[in-house]
Amino acid sequence: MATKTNSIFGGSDIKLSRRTFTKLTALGTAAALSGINSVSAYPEGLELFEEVTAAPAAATNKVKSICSFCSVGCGYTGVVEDGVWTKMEPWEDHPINLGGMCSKGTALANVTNSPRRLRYPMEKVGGTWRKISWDAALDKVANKLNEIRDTDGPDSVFFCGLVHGSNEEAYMFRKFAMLFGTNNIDHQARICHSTTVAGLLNTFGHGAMTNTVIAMQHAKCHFFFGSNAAEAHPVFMQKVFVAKERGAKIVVADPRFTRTAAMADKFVRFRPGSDIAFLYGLINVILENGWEDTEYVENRTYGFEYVKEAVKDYTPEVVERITWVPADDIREVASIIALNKPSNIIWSMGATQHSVGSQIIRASAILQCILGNQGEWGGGCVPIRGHCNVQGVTDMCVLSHFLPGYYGVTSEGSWDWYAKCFSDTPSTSGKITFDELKARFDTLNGESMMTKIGFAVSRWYEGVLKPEAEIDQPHNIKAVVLWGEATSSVTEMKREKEAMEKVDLVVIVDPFPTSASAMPDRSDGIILLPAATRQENSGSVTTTGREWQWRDTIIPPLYESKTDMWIFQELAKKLGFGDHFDYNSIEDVTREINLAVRPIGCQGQTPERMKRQKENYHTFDPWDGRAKGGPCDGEYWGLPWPCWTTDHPGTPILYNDKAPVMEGGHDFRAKWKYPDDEPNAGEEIVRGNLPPTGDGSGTIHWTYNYAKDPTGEVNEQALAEGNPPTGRGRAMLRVANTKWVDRVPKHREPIESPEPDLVATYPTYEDKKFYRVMTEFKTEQQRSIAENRHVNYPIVLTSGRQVEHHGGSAQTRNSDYLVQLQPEMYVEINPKVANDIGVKHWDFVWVKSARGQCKVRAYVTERVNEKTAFMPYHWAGVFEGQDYKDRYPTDGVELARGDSVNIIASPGYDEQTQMQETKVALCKIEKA
Amino acid sequence: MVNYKFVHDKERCIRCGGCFAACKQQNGVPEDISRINIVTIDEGKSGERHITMTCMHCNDPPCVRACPVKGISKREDGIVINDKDKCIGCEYCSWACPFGAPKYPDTGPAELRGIMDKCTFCVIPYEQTDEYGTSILRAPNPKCAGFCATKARLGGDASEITATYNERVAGRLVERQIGV
Amino acid sequence: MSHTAYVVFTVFSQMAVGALIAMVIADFLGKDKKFFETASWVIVPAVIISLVAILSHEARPLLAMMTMSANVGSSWLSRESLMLTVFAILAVIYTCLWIFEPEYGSFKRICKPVHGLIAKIAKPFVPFRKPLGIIFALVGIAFLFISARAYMLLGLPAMNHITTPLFFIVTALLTGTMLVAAVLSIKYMMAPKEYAEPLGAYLGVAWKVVLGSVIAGIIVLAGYLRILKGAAASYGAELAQGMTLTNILSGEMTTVFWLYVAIGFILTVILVAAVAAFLKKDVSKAAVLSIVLFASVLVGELMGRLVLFGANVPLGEVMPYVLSSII
Ligand code: SF4
Ligand code: SF4
Ligand code: SF4
Repeated sequence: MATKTNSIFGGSDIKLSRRTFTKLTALGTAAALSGINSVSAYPEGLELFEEVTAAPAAATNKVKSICSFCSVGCGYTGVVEDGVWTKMEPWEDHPINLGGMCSKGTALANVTNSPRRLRYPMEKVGGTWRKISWDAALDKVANKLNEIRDTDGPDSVFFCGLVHGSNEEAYMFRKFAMLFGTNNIDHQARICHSTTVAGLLNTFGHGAMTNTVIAMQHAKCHFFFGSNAAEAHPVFMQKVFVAKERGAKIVVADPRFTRTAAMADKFVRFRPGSDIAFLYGLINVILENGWEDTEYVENRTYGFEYVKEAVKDYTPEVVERITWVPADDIREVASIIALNKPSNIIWSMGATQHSVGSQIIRASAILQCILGNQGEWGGGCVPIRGHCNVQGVTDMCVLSHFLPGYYGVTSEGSWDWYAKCFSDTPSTSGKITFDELKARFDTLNGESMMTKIGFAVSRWYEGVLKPEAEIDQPHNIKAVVLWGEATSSVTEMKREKEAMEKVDLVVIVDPFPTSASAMPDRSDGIILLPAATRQENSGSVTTTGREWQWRDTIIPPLYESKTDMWIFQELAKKLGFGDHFDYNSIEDVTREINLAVRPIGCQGQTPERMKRQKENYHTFDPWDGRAKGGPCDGEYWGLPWPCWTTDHPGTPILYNDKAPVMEGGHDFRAKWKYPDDEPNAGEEIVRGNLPPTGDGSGTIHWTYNYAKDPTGEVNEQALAEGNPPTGRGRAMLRVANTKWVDRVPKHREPIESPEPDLVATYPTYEDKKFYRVMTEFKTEQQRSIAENRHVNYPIVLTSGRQVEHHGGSAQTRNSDYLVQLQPEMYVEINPKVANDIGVKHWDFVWVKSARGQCKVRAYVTERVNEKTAFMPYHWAGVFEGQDYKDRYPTDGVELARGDSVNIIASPGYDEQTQMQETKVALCKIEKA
Repeated sequence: MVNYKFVHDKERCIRCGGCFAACKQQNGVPEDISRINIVTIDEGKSGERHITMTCMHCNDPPCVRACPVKGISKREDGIVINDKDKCIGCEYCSWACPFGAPKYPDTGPAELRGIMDKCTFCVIPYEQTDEYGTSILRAPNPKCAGFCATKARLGGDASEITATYNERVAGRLVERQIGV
Repeated sequence: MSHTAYVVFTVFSQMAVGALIAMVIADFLGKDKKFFETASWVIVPAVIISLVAILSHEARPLLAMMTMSANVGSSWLSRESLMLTVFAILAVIYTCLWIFEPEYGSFKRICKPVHGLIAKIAKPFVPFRKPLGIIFALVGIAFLFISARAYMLLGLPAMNHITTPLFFIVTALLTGTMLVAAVLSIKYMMAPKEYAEPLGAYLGVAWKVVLGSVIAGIIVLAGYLRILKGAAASYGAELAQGMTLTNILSGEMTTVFWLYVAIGFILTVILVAAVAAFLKKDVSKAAVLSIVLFASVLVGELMGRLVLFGANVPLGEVMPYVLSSII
């Protein structure tokens, strides 16, 4: 391998001969010693020195691209010398990051050039790993999938992953599953922000961050509620600090004193899982003091009375009992966020990964509406997404309940739309009718599986392990395709491991062998396909702020690895629907997306526009992300969706009714299903008085039927009338969907609660069968109490991110720089806990829960209090203290391995989305 | 006359390690040492702050005075660099430096093992010559500062970066005074 | 970081200086020069051991040897190395003045042909050995100060005190005196009758020097700890010293520190008393004890030096705290 990873020459380097170099330093020293101040500035001085021509100049190429770790969307410049990616340079004028990157980003080249990459397809046969050819590997996979499809039906295959892929690859993945004939496809958004999508979508109309990262500079108060941005999204903090230097306050509420908390003006520590009570405490104080924005509430929201009623009981004193936060602290936080406006609420997994996750998000959204922040620059709901394109992959709906663009799978109309799009798109030659598409699906009890929601990634293993009669599909899952999916990010890992041992075939598509290749104890039936990294292919990626950026190829795929697009195309060919994948370029896929994905306005982000922005990045003002002059004049950076037409500048702030729609204005969705019990609600949901914006200030219009209009005429009509095609509606403080048990949020104790008394007052939901599987809520909560877990496992365990690692960390745990910074898995425990069990910092301990145990280092710190422990979730490769290093393919043993917290995490799930409850579990810690 | 310096804004640094990895990558610094040292003070307690330390390119560098073989020098533009051809690895500069900036590597290419390495404002990488024996000299373009996630680390002409820094401090002071 | 090289280097270079001083003293003691001459052989080996130790630490020992003195203008390390070179040369000359002495110089028994020539060159200087010895000893003491000065750095606050050279002088006197005593004792054992008197004379002086040095050592050590303690409270260099003190009294160096106290002071004082007591009655026992005393002094000083270097906290380590409090 000819990688010169750390090469230090060439490029813009100025080469000097030894002689002149010595002269230079001598000169410098002499000048310094004699105190002579030379008048010439250094750069001019450089010209004094001759360049040496002896060394042939390396062919240097600089490519600008987008980081493939978190979702902030930082840009960087890759320096490629003689075809080898040697260095990186900051992309200093990138409107989002201004060149800044965290350790993961700056280690991108190191990650890509890692010698531990998977170099060729491999298969595990008779307990040993064997190299096979691409052709043989794809044949094996296709034959097996076809065989399962024929005998058990397409639903017996589960596809998951691709969270780092581009929008195009995500779209292809979902299309692939649609044509394969199953809804058993899901990705990591399920376990990261599915509750955000459910919560915000049902409140506002869209399930995404309502601001851009750039807009954070405009806030007057940042309220971090379940986000440790300093570690999870470091560059986000750049914007927060700019705001702080302009007078903004920072408030952090978290069970743990995070690095973000260290930078805050006010920090409160609350009990994991008491989020809704805490938020209601704040709303209670706000209403008590009359700090709500009455005009906003009246004009732009629906259902305020219900909220008033619901928060009435949550006085600061009651909340103190539930959350362990002193009542005065609650009052103080409420006053800070209510009096420094626009304020926002920023969350990540801390708020979403709960059995009441969707409701926590709803409560956050309600808080923002009551304060009138929603729709302001810097205000509103700020869910920061986790992976570089998890927003885009969510939009492309690699999800078992949506089709790209959030068309629900349960409606036949959605499938009809896509059958049309697949046939009409000029990008591919394939044609398919609705009936043909439907015929590709199995049936159960006479009903087509096409309109049935598939398994969620958090529970797919139940489809393997549960008896056939207990799952809502014809047969058990027989094969699983992990496409860039970290098995360690899913809770109940022991069951997942068992499932991976039971299925007939495990396919892992990843640049690294990953810990998934080592986890199942099986000697055959694992196929590893080497995928190119995100630095080795191109496509559009969506930041957390809905901005589309074009990610360019830095180097072609190393070794035998292939781009995801190529793998999809080849596999589709072998499975018989290759004609739907005969795209000529990745841009063709983007064009198909522009055509098909209408509900969220993906018409404006054409490849041409994105590339034009990329070339003219310097014309964008980093203060608001808008181009001033130049070819992109007036456009917002990344054309944040909804971007309704190719003339639309993008919508940086969702629901901002102060700007004309053609200038990025927006409003709440108007079209909702009528609540069954309120036949007249429709009238309330549509706004009565419209904002006095721009020229055409809009007409009162129920809504526009734009989502299935292939010509885009309806969009044009809406825009001409001065309205967003989603109409002008109101924020639903009470959800319209009567299927929700809590139409207004309500505190419910986590599944494993340390407070059995509170469980009696605030019990969780009834057990419920959804996403094809029975899910225990009440049963498990009662079991926990019956088993006395709050006594036997007295410490509340929560988990989260480290800045140096990312997700399942297949990439970062293979980078030597990052491993130097963060070499081992640990559990953070309070000094008191450590002293009580007699362990010192960095000793080994066992962390045990009712599910299993982990052997990790003890990190003794006051970050956590005596009742809480914290573990990062990036670690795998060690399972309950047993190192699996012998099970990896020889060259691919991960550099750093550690036990996985998800072995011991809680078995709780969100009642709307099957989001796993990783943030609250009960554990005990023992000396190892 | 430029005078290259660093400023570290401890109200912004979040210990993301970007500067660390950027420096390693840019300069090929071996595993056991780093030109940047990130230190956390009062971890887990209120007032927790992170400080990144590298060579400060002192005005009157004790290391230059200490080096017995005249291996370290201060350039006209203020950058203090060490000449690895001269260095004998006595570690004396590291002792003399108030910041302990020069580091003694135990790993890395054999001919450079035990030869001190320190921040050179990115003008010189870890291996100072290429395979033809030609000295490598780059523009003073500190990668740690360029890549700093929060722009806590400022590197460049002293007057420019102090102006930026002072602006921020002023902003924070104002906030403290009007604070609600 | 391993400090062994520096520990060995400083202790042995100081031992050489001390041994030279001891030889100058011996030169004044009675007529039995033939007996004392033997001890003059040890000075140069001590210098060589120290040189090997320090060069073994350098990545490029050869280059180091050639260039180390290049920066005498400002580097105390250069000056130290220059002084060490000068002292080494003087030590060789001084040794020659003993071993090439025409009458009792022992070199002629080893290699006659070489002896003749050098003895001829040395001859005119031999009568001036005493004054030259005094001058050389003064140069040696100057070397001790310069060597100490090299460690008195801003970056090493705990060593940046007058105690450093004092420690070095104490080491020189203790180890040098006893090194010579040990060699003489061995020589004495070969012919007890013949050498009883000169050994007695030497040990009679030696035990007083050693006792004096040990007492001085205790005072210097107490002073050192006092300085560290006084500084411990605040930030910056003081903090580094406080941390050094912690390292000594309740940290990684504590065991070594107490071994130092036990061997270097308590055991040494007991042995000195024993030597003094036996000197009157039984020189042969005193001779054996002197050898043991040498061992004890050497081990004690090595331990002491290990503490000095090993516990030391450089300023760089506390600098983040300083920076965090001022910016
Ligand atoms: S990159 Fe910046 S914020 Fe991150 S650790 Fe370095 S100085 Fe701190
Ligand atoms: S190495 Fe240390 S003493 Fe030398 S210039 Fe840098 S900070 Fe100053
Ligand atoms: S300026 Fe360059 S060499 Fe110095 S610490 Fe920063 S990245 Fe490293």
